[in-house]
Amino acid sequence: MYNKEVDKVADLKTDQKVEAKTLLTEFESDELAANKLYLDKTIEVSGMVTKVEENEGITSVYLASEEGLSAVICQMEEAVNVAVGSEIVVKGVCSGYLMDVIMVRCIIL
Amino acid sequence: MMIIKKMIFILLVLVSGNQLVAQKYFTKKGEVSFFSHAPMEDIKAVSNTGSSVLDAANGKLQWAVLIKSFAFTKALMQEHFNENYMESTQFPKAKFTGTIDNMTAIDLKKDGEYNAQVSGVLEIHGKEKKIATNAKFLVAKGKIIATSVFKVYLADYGIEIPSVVKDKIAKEVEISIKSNYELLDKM
Repeated sequence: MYNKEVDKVADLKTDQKVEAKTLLTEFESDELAANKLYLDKTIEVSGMVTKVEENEGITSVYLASEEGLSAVICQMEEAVNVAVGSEIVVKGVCSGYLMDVIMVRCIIL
Repeated sequence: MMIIKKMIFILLVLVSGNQLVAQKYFTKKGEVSFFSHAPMEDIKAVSNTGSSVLDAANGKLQWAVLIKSFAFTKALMQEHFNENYMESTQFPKAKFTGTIDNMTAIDLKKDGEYNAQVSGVLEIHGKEKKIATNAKFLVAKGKIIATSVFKVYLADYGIEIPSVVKDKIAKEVEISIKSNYELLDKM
C-alpha cells in the first residue's frame, strides 16, 4: 500500500470536460472559483495545438495560446507526435494557474 | 479582463519600444525539485512547470510554481505532501519575488558563467520570509541557464510535522531551481 505508485491518468475517471479557451478564460477571470472547479481534478481539455516544446526529455503541448500571452500548457506523460494547428483532446490533472493553466501527467485521447 | 491584459501588454510594447522588452527573459518550464533526507526514507519530488520572469535591466526576478505540479513516485507520499504538509488546495502556489543584486555584473548576451546574488521574499504555504541565496547563470550560444540550490526550514513557513512522524521527517528541505530563460520577444 505505502509503495503504491501514482496512478496513471489513463486509469483515472474524468471529472470535467472543457474547451481549452473556456478553461483559460475561467482561470483568468476568477482564479479562486476556477481552482474550486478544476484544481487537482482529472480533466479532458479540447483545443488547438499552438506549440509543441521539448525540454530535457519532457514534451509540453500548448493549447489555445493567445498571442503569446498565456495558454493551457500540458506536460505530457511521454513524447507525442502532434502537429501545430491540429485539434486534440488531452486528458490530465490540472495543477492550477500561473501565467498559464498548467496540466500535468497528460495523455492524448 | 483578457482584453484589458492584452491592451496593457500592447501598450507596454509600444511605450517601451523593443529596447526595454528585449531585456526581459522568461521561462514557463522551470524546474524545481526538493530533497529531504530522513532516517526512514528520502523524500524527493520535481516540477517542470515553474514560471519565471527576469528583467535584465534592473535585476527584478519573479518565480512561481504550483504545488500540485510536483511529481512523486509514491502516491501516498504525494497525497501527504499536498494534504497534510503543504495544504495545496488552500495554498496552490509557492512564489519568489526579489532581485539579482549584482545584475550589472551579469551580461546575459555574452557567453560565460556568472555568479549571482539573489535576495527577496519567498512565499510557501501562505507564509512569507525574506531569503538570500546564490545562483549561477550559464550563458552559452544564446542559451541561458540559471541554477540555484538553497535550504528552507519547514517551521519558517508554518509547515507542521505531525508528532507521530516527527523523528522520521527532516526539518529542513533542500530546494534546487533550474531555469532556461528565453528572450520575451521570441514569444
